[in-house]
Amino acid sequence: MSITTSRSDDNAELTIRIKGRFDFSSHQEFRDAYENPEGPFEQYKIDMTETTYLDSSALGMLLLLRDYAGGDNAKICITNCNNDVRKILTISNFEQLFVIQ
Amino acid sequence: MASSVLGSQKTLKILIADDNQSDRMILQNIVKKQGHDTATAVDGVDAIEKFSEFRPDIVLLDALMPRMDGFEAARKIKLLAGEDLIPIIFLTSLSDAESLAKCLEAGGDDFLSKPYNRIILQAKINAFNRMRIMHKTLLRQRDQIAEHNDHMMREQQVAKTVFDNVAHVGCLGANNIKHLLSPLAVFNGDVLLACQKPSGGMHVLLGDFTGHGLPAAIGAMPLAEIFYGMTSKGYALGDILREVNQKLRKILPVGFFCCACMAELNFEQEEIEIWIGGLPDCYLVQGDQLLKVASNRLPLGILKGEAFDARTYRFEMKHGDRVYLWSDGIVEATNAKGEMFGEKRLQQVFEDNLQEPNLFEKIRRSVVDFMGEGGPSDDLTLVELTMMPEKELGIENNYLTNTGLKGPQHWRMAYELCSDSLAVFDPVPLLLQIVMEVPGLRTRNGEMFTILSELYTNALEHGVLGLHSKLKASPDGFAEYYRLREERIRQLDGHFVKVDVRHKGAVAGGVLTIRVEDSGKGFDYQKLDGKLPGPTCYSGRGTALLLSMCSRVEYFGQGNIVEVDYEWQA
Amino acid sequence: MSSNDLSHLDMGALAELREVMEDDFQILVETFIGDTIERMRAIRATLDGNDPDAFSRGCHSIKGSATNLGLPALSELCRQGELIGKFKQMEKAREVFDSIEREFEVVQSLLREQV
Repeated sequence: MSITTSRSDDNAELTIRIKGRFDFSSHQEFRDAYENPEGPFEQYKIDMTETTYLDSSALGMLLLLRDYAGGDNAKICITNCNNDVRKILTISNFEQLFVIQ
Repeated sequence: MASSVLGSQKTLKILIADDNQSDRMILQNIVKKQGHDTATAVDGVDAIEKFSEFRPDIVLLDALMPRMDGFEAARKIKLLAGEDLIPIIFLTSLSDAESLAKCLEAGGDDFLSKPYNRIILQAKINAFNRMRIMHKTLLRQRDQIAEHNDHMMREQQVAKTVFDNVAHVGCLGANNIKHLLSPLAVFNGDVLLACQKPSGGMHVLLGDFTGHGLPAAIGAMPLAEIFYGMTSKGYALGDILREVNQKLRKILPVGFFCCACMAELNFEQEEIEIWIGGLPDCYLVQGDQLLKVASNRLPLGILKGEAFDARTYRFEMKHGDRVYLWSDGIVEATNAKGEMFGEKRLQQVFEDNLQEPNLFEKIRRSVVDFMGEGGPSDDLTLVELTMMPEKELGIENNYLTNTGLKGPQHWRMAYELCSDSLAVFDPVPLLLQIVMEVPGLRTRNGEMFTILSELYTNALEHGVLGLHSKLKASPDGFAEYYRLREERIRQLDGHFVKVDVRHKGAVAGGVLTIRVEDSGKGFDYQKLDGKLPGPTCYSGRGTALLLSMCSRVEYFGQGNIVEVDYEWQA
Repeated sequence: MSSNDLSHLDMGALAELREVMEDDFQILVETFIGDTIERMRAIRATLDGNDPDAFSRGCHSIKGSATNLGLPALSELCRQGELIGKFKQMEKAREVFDSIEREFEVVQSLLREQV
């Protein structure tokens, strides 16, 4: 598992890329990623192109990010989920909280 | 010199075993100069004796000695040292690989060859001392971890016991419930609750908290308390879910939540109402039809109160129909190859066994077989609920009477609900709760609920809102009734419903008197000319139903006041 | 390498030894000499050739302490003795033993001069 981040040119969006399993062991790394000293950003993009698996503590971490990014006003978009990841997000009905593309 | 270099270092105890006196002397002097304490032994037997007396930190051991050689002495010393690391450095001028290997085999950690070089010896002693300290730290930390783990397990067992006591007061033993829950000593985050409603029917809740152990158990407590408390007081499924959601959101840290499915079984209407948030799709078996019910709500404890969505699914469920709930343990059950059981396999088991009376066992078997020998069968939560006539459930609500308190015997209360509040608040659970404080009435909570809700509904709908139940006789009228209700319920200014409840205790029983007055126009009860009770008269005012339970039903004023007596015996 | 090419005393090693032993240097020298006389006696008893291992062990033992005392020539002769025992060539034992004895005589007096 590894997490990398990048900023958009206008500094408005932070992209967080998660590689491998996204579970409790990524907790600190994920937190470090979004609690970026340059932040908070206007919007966040979680790129799951290389995310293989998601568990319920990962869902919890997404909620933590949402809280950090402004709760109900947070702009967070989750992109490029594989089927398994998508399924978990769907069961939990997280599309009601996040934009899932 | 050397001692100043080692000034800050701990004095070690070093045992020197060599049969050659001059070599022994040289070593002893080198080691002493480096600030350590020494003891000497002249052969293997002596070395073992000195080892026990002196308890050295490091042993310098000659390989070839009379009586007992260094190899055997090393083996014995390692045995005596147990799990402590006592490094053994072989003193040898042996240089063939075979002899050196023999030293290692016997438990030697290193070699020192002649002529002894004090710098090399110092380096070795320092290195082994570091290793020895690391080893000690490791052992200490290992013991600490073991101790902490024991402690945690004990705490979790206590938590689980407390939790079981809170959660298992319900009716999980009812004939219509089959379930498989973690037999683990430690709480795994899955919660199954079931409770009969006072008006008949049953609430069942399966919850799966994020995380295991204490954080999950902590959330489960208020969940169970609210579920049982509110269900037995007659609250509706939606109210209970809203309350649980709010409570969990308040007490759980952000990122912790409870995936849940709550069902209300209505045995009379043969209907099921299902709310599902975050748990895997559940399956409804209706005759030979299989219906998947997909999770469509967010888990409990995430959304703020006003955003929470308590809307449900409603399905017809004939006697014998079954519904299956599970947490992700079943779907994610993994075999030796690392494959998950998955939804496809699960669905196949259903399709292949729809007519099978013991479908529950079939599912369990398939999952256990899939995981194979030694699979962790402790995370499997599976629930089957069957629709059947309520009287066949085989349960008594004796848990309701289980209280050490005698409760009030003689009391009176008055409650008035006015204006807008009539539209938005249902006072029946509240009133029921007060009445239930009389322990003798607890087992009668079904009747109590019916009486209170009949009286209140009459006062509101026929009294305050002036609706005629005759309307409900035809399908068109039914719609009209609800249209009028919606319309009139917006205009409640100056309206009220007053409820006056009195209880008088007797030796083994008592009388509960309930008087309800509303601000409506009343009705001409005189016209009935004392024909109470007629099978058809007063229809819509539920009087017949009231009369079947109450010893007295009497109207006053213009028909806007009703008073009933409910007599009970222990 | 023949023992003739090696010095009787390694002065560097001896200087270090003196530093380590300080006042005990004299005792060390006397202990070494005393021990070695004992060991020579024991080795002499094995010259009949019946116990090559005992001959080898005796040489090995003197070799060790001679190395530590900084006596290269004596150490080398003992090493040869050790091998003769080990390979059971006891016919050569007497000759090596005599060399060891002569070398020991030499270093004995040289060591005593060092004290």
